[in-house]
Amino acid sequence: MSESELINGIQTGDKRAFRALVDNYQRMVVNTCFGIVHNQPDAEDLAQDVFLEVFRNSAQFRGDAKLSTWLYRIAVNRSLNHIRNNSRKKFWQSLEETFKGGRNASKEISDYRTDQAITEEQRRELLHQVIDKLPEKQRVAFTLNKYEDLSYQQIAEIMELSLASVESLIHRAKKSLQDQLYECYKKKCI
Amino acid sequence: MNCKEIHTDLIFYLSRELSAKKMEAIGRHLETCDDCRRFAEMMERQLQLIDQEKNPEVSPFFYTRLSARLDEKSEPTRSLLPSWAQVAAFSFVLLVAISSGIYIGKQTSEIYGQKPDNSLLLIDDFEVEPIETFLLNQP
Repeated sequence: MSESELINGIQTGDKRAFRALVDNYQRMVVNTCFGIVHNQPDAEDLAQDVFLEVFRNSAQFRGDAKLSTWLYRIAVNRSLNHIRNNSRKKFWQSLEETFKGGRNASKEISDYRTDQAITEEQRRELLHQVIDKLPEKQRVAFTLNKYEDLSYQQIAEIMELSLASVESLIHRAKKSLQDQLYECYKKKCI
Repeated sequence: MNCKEIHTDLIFYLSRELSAKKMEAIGRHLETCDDCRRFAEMMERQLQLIDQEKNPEVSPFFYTRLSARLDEKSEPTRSLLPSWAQVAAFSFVLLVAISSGIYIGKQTSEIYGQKPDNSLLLIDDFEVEPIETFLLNQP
């Protein structure tokens, strides 16, 4: 089924076309969400929200961009909203813990113990922490480039930015990751 | 090249994004500097994790769950206002209601010429019937 057939089918409420769309793009959408939220169940839930939005708002797709570009945009926006909501929840939770006299559960990079062998899980956690500390646009550009292997041109289309802006975002993201990892290396956190 | 210069470009060296001249210079430095080499290895291991974790296996029930959600009623309509604006709007309405109540109350009392009487009406039984009279009247 071609892209236009898929869209026409979905716009008329054809569930077979919708199934074909999900089969074709589910890996891409789940992986994009996963790159931003770093949690598989959350990424799958968000990917489902993306497909539901596509099905319900298919009339809004005018065809001036590729279908994948539209899906990437929805996936990125949904994932960023999810992170923002989680940040708000964490803020209130930490406030509650402070008033209750409890210890803040959030882990800083320097909290890693040095007397234990570092497991892969801890390394993963460190990677996610350094990526999460990037500003939103840098994080999105870096994630699309590294998790989805998209070219700078494709990222520029998705983020509706110039090619030079995307190059600059990814360059700054890499520098920032390097600085954060160096801080961690100096403190012998892993 | 010194260690500080190496740390500026190491991530780009690992992804082979530098000029041949710079790549060679950093490569030579890493052969002689243990500290920079250890940092380069640590960073490379961290970045390789992305390749390991990307493209996670999607649940085989993904479409089944999605299909079930599709058959549910359409998403509940969300309020047009964000939550902070809802709180502000509610507070404003409450304030207007209280102010209106006070204003209407004042207007009404002026119309009927009533003034609030805060004095307490004391009932003094002794004034009505002194104890002596009471005792004299006892059989």
